[in-house]
Formats: sequence, structure tokens, C-alpha cells
Amino acid sequence: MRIGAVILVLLAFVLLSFGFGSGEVSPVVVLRYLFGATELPDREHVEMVLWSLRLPRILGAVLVGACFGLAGALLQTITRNRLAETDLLGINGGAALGVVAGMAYVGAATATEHMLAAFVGALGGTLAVVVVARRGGETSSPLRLILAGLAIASVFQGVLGFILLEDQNHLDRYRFWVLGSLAGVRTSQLAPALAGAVPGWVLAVATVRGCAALNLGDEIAENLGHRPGRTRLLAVLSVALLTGTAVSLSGPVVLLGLVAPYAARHVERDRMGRFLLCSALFGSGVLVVADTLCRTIVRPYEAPASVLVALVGAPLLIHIARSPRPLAALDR
Amino acid sequence: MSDSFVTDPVVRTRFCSFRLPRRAMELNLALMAVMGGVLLCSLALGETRLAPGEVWAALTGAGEVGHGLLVNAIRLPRSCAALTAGAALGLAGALLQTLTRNRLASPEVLGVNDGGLMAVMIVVLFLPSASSALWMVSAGGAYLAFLLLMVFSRDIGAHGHRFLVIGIGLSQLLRAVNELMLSAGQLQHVTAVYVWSVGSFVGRGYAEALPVSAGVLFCLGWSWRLQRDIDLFSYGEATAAGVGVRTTSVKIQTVLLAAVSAGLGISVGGPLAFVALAAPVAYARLLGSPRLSLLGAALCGGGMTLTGDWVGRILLAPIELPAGLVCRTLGGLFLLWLLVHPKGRGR
Repeated sequence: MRIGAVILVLLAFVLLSFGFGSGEVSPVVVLRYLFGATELPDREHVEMVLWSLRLPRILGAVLVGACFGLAGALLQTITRNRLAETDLLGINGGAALGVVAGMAYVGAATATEHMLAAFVGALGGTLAVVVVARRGGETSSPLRLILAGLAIASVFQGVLGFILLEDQNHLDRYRFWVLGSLAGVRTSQLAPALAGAVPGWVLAVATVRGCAALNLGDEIAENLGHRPGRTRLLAVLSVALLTGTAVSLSGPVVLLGLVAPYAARHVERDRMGRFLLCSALFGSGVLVVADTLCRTIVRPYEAPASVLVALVGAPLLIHIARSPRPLAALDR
Repeated sequence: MSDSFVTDPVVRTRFCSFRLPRRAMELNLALMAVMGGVLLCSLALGETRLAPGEVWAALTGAGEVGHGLLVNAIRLPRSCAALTAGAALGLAGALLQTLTRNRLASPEVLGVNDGGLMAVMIVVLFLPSASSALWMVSAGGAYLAFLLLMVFSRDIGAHGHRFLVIGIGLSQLLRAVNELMLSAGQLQHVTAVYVWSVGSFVGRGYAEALPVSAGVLFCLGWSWRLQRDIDLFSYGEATAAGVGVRTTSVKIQTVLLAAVSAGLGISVGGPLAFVALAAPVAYARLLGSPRLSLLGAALCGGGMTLTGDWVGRILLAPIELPAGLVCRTLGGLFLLWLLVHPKGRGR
């Protein structure tokens, strides 16, 4: 019921985003085109703007937002920590390091090469975290996972800083990459991104029952016949695939992974499957709105995506935290 | 933790009685010894190497004039600044982590780092003439951000959760504006601000260290009074209230102290991001008990920044690496070592 409403709102946002852009193609023109008006003066131009500029971008925003939202929700569930975000498992740090190292040492210059470097970095970071967290017997404690992630992310940030301070040009390019943007998304990039995201989604669906059991605590989950360690490993892999894909497509849009589950908990917090779906939907919704604003507020220039996600997401977060209901949820 | 309750010696006088936590005291002494060693190293070793005797002579004013200048006017003030900043950050991290019972809570989420960074950035980019008193600027920005947070959240909420979440939202907003300014600025200014935002003690001295250390000592003294209540908090808020802790007052004091010491900590050398988070964790793992000691966290933090500053000076000499980078890398590796080390137990 409520999820249906969320889906409807998301669709409305997508349509709005389809209508507004940076150029002179106004919502009225878009409406007339969509309703089949044939006497439009520059029909080819409108067609080009809609199908090869706006559509891939919107699809990219939906995809990236869903990935970040779902990854954040999974991560908060398996670490049982509501401050956990995708920064945590060394993912964003790994992606940033991958891109900067690619720029500095391998000579990666095109968008596709950056995408690949970010993906490799994100996966590498997560693998390192998992290896460290599983060493020394007690495999699956959430705190070990968090601490290992923090430590690895910190080392990555340190190494990244060394590279950036070595040469001003790296800092110059990094400061734009880190802002994130969906401006360059083309249809040809969506297929490889889907190839990364779909296995992540499948893994997430496969771990839904295990994650729901984890909510009850590791011991009860074991007594119910689940294996918490295995669930966590699968979920971490899923998070790595999802975030790696998303970061490589749009750059790090960190706040999404925190806001989306937070808002989703407002709608549905007991049934795990719906909660995860809701988080993905909220992620998409926030990113679509933010990306539309990116295109329109400083027209004809582009505003950076992470800034607008913060401008849209942070007030949402503050508003939810101020309203009385979720505090009851936090006290549970 | 439970067995140490039994074996620790207890002091009983007519007026009061208290337990002497033997293991914690040993660890604190060991940490202080290590810090003294690192301090000696950082006074003696650098681009100019001095023998321990020469350092002593310089400190007492007996040695060569050049050595005296090097030790008393450059290396010692700078090391003091690093030590103070680290202690303040470690204390802030420990306070927040106890209050929220969440290892991810650190001063960054209060928005004080981003507030300080924003103030510094505005001054560096738009009012370069005022950049001589940068530490006051950053502390001012940090406290303004904290004030904003207080206004927004009105109430701390259970375990300070509301406070933290609103803090995260605010700090993200501030960070967004910061990144926007960073992407719009000229490259040489951007590099200067980046170095500040990483954290570095180049050129810092008593001018920053003395006022800040007075503040830190005040915070430490106050938090020593709080330690007992905070220990009880770790059994849960209801239990603490049940044995007579005035929970609301303790929570407010904790948050205030955390904000004050975080602002002081970042004002000296910039936001050294990892220290506040890692110092309490490292101390707890070294101690092998989940009890959070405020003094211990401050010691750990001070040790981390002091080491970071010294290693950054000598590692690639004559190039100086910012202490923040070294702290992140070495601190991360140290935490990893504590994690995989088989003896590392506790939480």
C-alpha cells in the first residue's frame, strides 16, 4: 500500500525530470511531443534531447540511486549500526584511490577508463576488508567488520592524500571527480553498469531471509538455521557490486546510502524485503530530484550531483530526525 | 572486566574508598612512557640530528644557541601543539562514543570539522589578510556549526541519536558548500585549503598550543568528574537512571564537553579525521576491556598525533608530509594490526 505510493511518487519524479532540462526544450514542448503533435518546428532536435540526452541520464539516476539506497540498507542491517554508510567498507575510499591511481600512474583519461578504475578499486577495497575481518577465528562479528572497514578506508585515504599532494594536477582533477555527476552518462554505459548491478541485486534478494534473521541477533539467527557469517559475506559482496557500479557511474554520492534507509524505515521497518525495496526506491527518488535540480538551477551550467544530493537529502534527514516517530524506532 | 573487579587493589580511608584499576594504570603509564620516548625522538631527530645530551643542554639553555633555538622555538612548541590537538580529539571521540554506545560516532558527525573548514576556507579564499589567526577562525567556525546544531535539534534524544543524525545532515550540508567553494577556487588556494583540511602542524607553536591546552586540561578535569557516571551509562540508560545517575544532565554535559574539545582539537592543526575515531578503540583493545577510559583515549590520541607529526617530518625529508595523512595511514595500519593480532580481545 505505502510502497505503491512510493513507487507512484518515484514515477512522478521521473516524468518531471523528463520534462525539465537545461536547454530550451521546455516542459510544454515535451508534453506536445509525447502526445504526438506532429507540427513541432524542430522535431528532430527535441527527439535527440529527449532520447539520447535526458533518458540515459534519468535511467542512470534511477540505477545509481537504487544501488546506493539498497547498499546502504544492507550495510546498516548486517552491521546493526544505523550510522553505517557505504563509506564504511573501504568502498568509496577504494574507488577514489582506484580513479586517482589510474589517472596518476596508468594514464586513465576517458570516462570509461575512470569507470573501470573505480570499479576495480571498490571491489579491491571490500575484499581487503573481508579478508581482514575474517582473520583470527571470530569471523562474523559486526564490530570487526566495522573496525576493519574503518581501518582500511583510513589507509586508503592516507595513500590517496600522498598521491594528491605529489602533483597539483591530480588534485585538480580529483576535486571535480569527487563531486560526482551524472552529466556524462550515455546509453552505451548503462549496459555494463547493469551487468555490475544485476548480480548485486540477485545477491541481495538471496540474502533477504538471512538478513531478516540477523535483525534478531546472531544467536537466534543460528538457532533458526541461518548462518550469520555466510549471510554477512554474501551481503558484503552484494554491497561491493552495487556501490562499485554506482560509484563508477556517478562518482561518490555518499549521503544517499544513509538517507535512503533512514527514510525507508519510516515507511516499512519490519519486513526486510519491503524495507530493502523501499530503500532502493527512496535512493532513486532523491537522486532523480537532485539530478533534475543539477540541470536546472544554474542553467545552462551543471551543478555537481553530490552537492545537490546533500541539499535535498540532508534537510530530509533532519526533518525525519526531528519528527517524533522515528525516535521511537531508534529506541527499540 | 569482571575478574579485574576482584583482583584490583582497593584504597580505603575514613572518608572514601576507591578501586585502583591496576591494568589501566599500567597501560596509562606505559602509554606515557612511549609518548615521552616519541617526544624525545621528535626533539632530537629531524633534518638536523641532535644527540640526547645536546637536546638536554638545549632545553636547559646550556648548549649551542642554534640548537637551543631549534629545540625551544621550533620543535618543542610544535610537538606540544600536536600533542594537545590529539588529546583533545581523542577525548571528544571517547565522549561521543560512550554517549551513543556507537563506535562510529566521532566529532565529524557533529559538523564541527566542516564548520571549521568552512570558516578557514572563507578566510583563505576571500579575506587573505586575516589569515594570521587561523586557529581562532577555525574554532569560531566549529562552534558556530555546533550552535546551529543545538538550535536545530532542541533535544538530545535517546543516546543522543537525534543529535547525531541531525549533526550528520548538517555536516553534509556544510560539506556540500565547502566542496562547491573548493571546486570554484583557484588551484593554489585550493591546495592550501586541502593541506589544512588534511591536518598539519607545520608552523604551529605555543600561540596555538597554550590556550588550547588550557582548554583541554579543563575538559579533562571536568570529564574526570563524569567518568563514573559514564561508566554506569555503559550498562544502559535505564540502569544508570536506576542507580541514581541524572541522565539528562550527564548527556548534556557529555555533548557540550565533546563539542568544546573537538573544536579545540581541530583548531590547532585542522581536522585530523581518524584520530578521534581510532583513539578510544585502540585504547580499549590495548586494555582488553570494553570500558571506555576518557583519560586513556586522550593519551592515545595525543600519542597518535605526536607520532604522526614526527614521522611526517622525517619520512621523506626534506619534504614534509602533513601529520593528518601520516595519522590516517599509520593509524589505520595500527588498527588493522590490533584487529588481526590474535591477542587482541575485547570488543
